[in-house]
Amino acid sequence: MIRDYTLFIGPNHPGIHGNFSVKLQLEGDTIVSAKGDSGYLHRGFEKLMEHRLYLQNLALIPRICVPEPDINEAVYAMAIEELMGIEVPERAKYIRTIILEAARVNAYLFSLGGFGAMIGIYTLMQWSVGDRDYMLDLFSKLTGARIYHMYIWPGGVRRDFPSGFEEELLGWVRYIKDRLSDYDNLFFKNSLFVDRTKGVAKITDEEALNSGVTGPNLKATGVMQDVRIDEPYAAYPYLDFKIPVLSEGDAWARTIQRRMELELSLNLIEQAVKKMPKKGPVTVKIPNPFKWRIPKGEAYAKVESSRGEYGFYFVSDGGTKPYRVYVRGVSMPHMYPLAERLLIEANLSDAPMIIESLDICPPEIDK
Amino acid sequence: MGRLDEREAMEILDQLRKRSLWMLHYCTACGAVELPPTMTSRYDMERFGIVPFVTSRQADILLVTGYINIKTLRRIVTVYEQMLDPKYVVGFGSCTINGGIYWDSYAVAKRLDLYLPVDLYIAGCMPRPEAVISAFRHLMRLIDEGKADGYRRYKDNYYWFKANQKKVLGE
Amino acid sequence: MKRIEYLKRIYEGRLIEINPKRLLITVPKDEFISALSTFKVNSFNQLTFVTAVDWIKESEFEIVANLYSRENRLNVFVKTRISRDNAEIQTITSIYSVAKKYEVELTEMFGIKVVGNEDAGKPFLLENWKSKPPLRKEFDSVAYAAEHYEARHAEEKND
Repeated sequence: MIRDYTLFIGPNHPGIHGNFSVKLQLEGDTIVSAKGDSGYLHRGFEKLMEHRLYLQNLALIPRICVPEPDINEAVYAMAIEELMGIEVPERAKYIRTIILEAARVNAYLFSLGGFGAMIGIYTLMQWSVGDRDYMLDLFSKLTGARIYHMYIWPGGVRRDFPSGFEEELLGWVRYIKDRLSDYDNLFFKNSLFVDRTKGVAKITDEEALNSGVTGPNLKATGVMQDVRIDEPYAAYPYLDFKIPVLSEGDAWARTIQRRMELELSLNLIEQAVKKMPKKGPVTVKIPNPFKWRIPKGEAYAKVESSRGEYGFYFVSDGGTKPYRVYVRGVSMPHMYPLAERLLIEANLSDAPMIIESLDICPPEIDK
Repeated sequence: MGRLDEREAMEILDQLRKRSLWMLHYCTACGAVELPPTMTSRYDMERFGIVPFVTSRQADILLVTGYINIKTLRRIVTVYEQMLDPKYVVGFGSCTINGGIYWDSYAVAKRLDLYLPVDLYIAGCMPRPEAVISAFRHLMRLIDEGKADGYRRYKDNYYWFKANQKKVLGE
Repeated sequence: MKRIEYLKRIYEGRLIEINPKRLLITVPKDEFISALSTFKVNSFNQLTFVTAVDWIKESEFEIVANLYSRENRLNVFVKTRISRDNAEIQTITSIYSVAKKYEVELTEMFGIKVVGNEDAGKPFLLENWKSKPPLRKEFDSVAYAAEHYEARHAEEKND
């Protein structure tokens, strides 16, 4: 007799990236229905931001999306610059591009490590988290902190590169490029990975476009949509690149898409360092924080994060504090209802892997 | 020659216990992003005998990483009561000490030691992996001296802890 | 671009351009669903978000929907205003099915009733919440935190 029962992939689970729970109804080994349960990481950012001055918010904002904190600072700065009409100096644009691409490589290494641990290849996590750590050393040399940098602010960046920084950064990029063939032999060509993920949790391109999916999940189904090409920001108008797409749409294609974008980001960092103007101002002078008023209006600024399209909707009423800020998290349409639909008719042992292949980041849903 | 009395037996057990503490792998909040670097090959926590483990019935340390959301607090109390004696609670990050940067949030509790007995705090936002390892070594020294007795305090003051939890969680 | 010209013509000057990549239109409450339908048919077939802004001085909520057009690479804000007392709107899941969870968030954070969405009254991020919806401007988060969560007194020293 096959029994029906309820199971929690509860908050206390090493297989989910963060504090997040899914309630499953099972019949034997097959999932019949799935319901997500969020709210374990809710801090109320949208209310907290309304109580702080524009400069005080810079300390609060990186903590919204924890694995990749630089995108939060970038969209906040871009929204304020659009409302105030400021133009960022050219060297600052290139520096912002380099920082955002390096943060993207770090986020991919971190999430691929977690994905490997979910399948059972634990060596991948030891390698990738260790390689990511060298970039965190460079970040702490540049900005003073390993994880939350508070480096990109409205008007440019906080300070210029110290001397010798570009050579060390290019040395790190070359080191990761040489290691990519080792990663391929360990993980991406491993038959354990290929057999477990081919054909699992397939989505078609129409389904993806109607469900609000963006980022590598969408590009793995064959649709080319990327904020860096549709609405270029920072120094992307001056760089020359082409983004590859795959067309299978299953868990295998999504992971390989992330590995190809990792390689593209390394090439972009090298290009940007070569084309950067050698000298110049890196910031526009910011006004006195207690008297900093932004004209009335609204703006929506977006960037391409490692998961998809991330944006802030910013409303100002002419005062010294923001009136309303809405955080458009990437993972909200990926989880509700896409993952809940993909989990039906799947095997129980594939469930954490399906959630992880969509790269769902719980702090972006909970805010 | 004779048998050991209870005090000497506890001392020997403490010496063995401190070299094999198992940590519960529950990433509560944003501090959990500095745990993989501490566990993997660069800062290697495993050489001290500390290993992340999945079930709460076989873990010794509960590491509360980061701020304490109310919905999570209810689950942490359940997990703590599922663990077997002797058990230790370590508060990770400045948010467990006095609320940290979320002091005016409507969903974050400010002091962890009103709800669970804390043995050690690690300050910082985020603490570096070296700080985490140094904290674990300090915990080992406290176990050696017999001062890490949070689990006994919880049993002695059970009704006080339960009253605080009920006031904030409301069940 | 000819879809954009067509939309500008049928909305007779209400569709304004804030900057080359963002358009804006404000419609009355009973035209909201039909406006979204018109935009969806004319190339704006991705919904980015639906949210609300609380204008307490004018005693109104402003519902904002952001749509994206893949062909023309533009975003448009479709806005409407509803009154603050007994606030309620019709669900837009009949046009964009993604909006279901965004509407649940609207009810939980602002207290706006959504007619037609059966998930809209259930708790999503908050558990056992008994006070006012938190994102309204009259909810004082500092006072709530000081009253419910006890802080450490600064005079105690634990050296």
